[in-house]
Amino acid sequence: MSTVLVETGSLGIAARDGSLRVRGLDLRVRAGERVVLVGPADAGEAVLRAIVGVDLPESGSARLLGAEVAALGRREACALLARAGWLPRRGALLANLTLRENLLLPLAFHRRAACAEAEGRVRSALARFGLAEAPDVRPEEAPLAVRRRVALARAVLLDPEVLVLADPVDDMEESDEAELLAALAAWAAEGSSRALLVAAQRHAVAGPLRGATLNLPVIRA
Amino acid sequence: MARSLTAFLRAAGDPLTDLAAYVTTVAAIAGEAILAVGASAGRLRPVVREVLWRQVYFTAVTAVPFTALLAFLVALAVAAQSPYSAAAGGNVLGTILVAALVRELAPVTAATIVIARSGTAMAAELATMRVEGEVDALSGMGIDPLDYLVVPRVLGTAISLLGLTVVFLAVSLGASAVLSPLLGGPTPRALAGLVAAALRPSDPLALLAKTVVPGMAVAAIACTEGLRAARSTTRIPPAATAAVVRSFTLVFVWNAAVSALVYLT
Repeated sequence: MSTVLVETGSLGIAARDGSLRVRGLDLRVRAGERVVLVGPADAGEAVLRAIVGVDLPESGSARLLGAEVAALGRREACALLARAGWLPRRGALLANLTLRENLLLPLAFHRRAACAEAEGRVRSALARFGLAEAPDVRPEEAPLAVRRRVALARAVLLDPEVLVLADPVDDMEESDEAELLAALAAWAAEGSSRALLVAAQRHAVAGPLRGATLNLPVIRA
Repeated sequence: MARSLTAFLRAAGDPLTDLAAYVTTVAAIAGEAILAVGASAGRLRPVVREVLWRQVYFTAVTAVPFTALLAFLVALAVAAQSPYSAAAGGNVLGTILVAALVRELAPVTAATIVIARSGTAMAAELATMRVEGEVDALSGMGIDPLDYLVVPRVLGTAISLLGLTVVFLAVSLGASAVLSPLLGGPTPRALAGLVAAALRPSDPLALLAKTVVPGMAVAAIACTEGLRAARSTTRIPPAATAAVVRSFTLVFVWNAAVSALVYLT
């Protein structure tokens, strides 16, 4: 039986604007699995936020890599989250850094990687999502497709055990969407210990990822 | 009677409890910055050092011309007292320069510049990052916002305030020395002697206390206000305003407390 990487038990959490709630979500993602949570964008992201410990659940539990992140101390939580790749909705790249600096940030923070090693990792992460390099411009100066590719490359840069992605292809052109979903599927297929958990608004996203879908139990407030 | 006393105590107690909680938060953030330097034996992560020096550049380096201008104008105002100093035997100017400029005006003016330029910017920047989900993105990547966003700003602002105070003192004392003889006061050499005679051994320590501590506190307040702002763009200006008001209050209270402690005892 493969390791459970993400698990929720009767998870209840509200979207930040309070307009809807996820109630009683039971979820289990094992190594090698790809799961797509389908539902309204705010609800999907709320669940993922609870899993990575950014928000506290209203009820139930959310565990990532065997631990409830929100219950851990700061150092322990950071060490655990460095083993997962997290992409919030719209990428949330830091506006005061260039795309290249954004990409290097987790590597510089967690690994203190030597330049040559960092360059190699960056090149390979970017190539995975169809970019030769990260432009040295601020996020607002780059098109959405480039920003999203850089954000996804940032998420896989530390070779995570599980990728937790909120609406990774939201608002994208059809061709870009297909390309990115194929890249994510290829990433997941590269190792039997890797898992992918994606929140999406459409069932169609699950097809290219070759993942199982789960409809979010949502109630309107 | 008992009910009105309870109501009075509650009305007086709640703000005091809030104030104590706020001061504790700010002190804890400043303490975290000191611990971060201690724990890393002075070698912060390169990526954190980069944020720190960026903060110093923005807060101190780009503020040097404005600080120098204010220092010159203050020196001009003080040197205008030279004729009175000469009438009083010539040695009053040194005492005025030390008592007013070195001990009080230099640290407070530099702190005012730092609050007005960087305190507001920091609070607004962090509140914006929170609204845009950047702070959560950092947390979710295992990058502690306290380590990456707050600690380098706190340390950078403390270094900057100390640096700007030194700039202010250098320009204002230098300008006073040049202007004094032109306005009928002592010569530069005589003025230097008067200033040296008026200085006390405790002055450097008091100056350090009036710059490093407020520098850390101003940044800690700005970061606190920015990071606790509600996730709405309408909450960004109030965060910046709160940072300014609280920082000014702290700087003036701290300055008065240090002066009272050092010079009245």
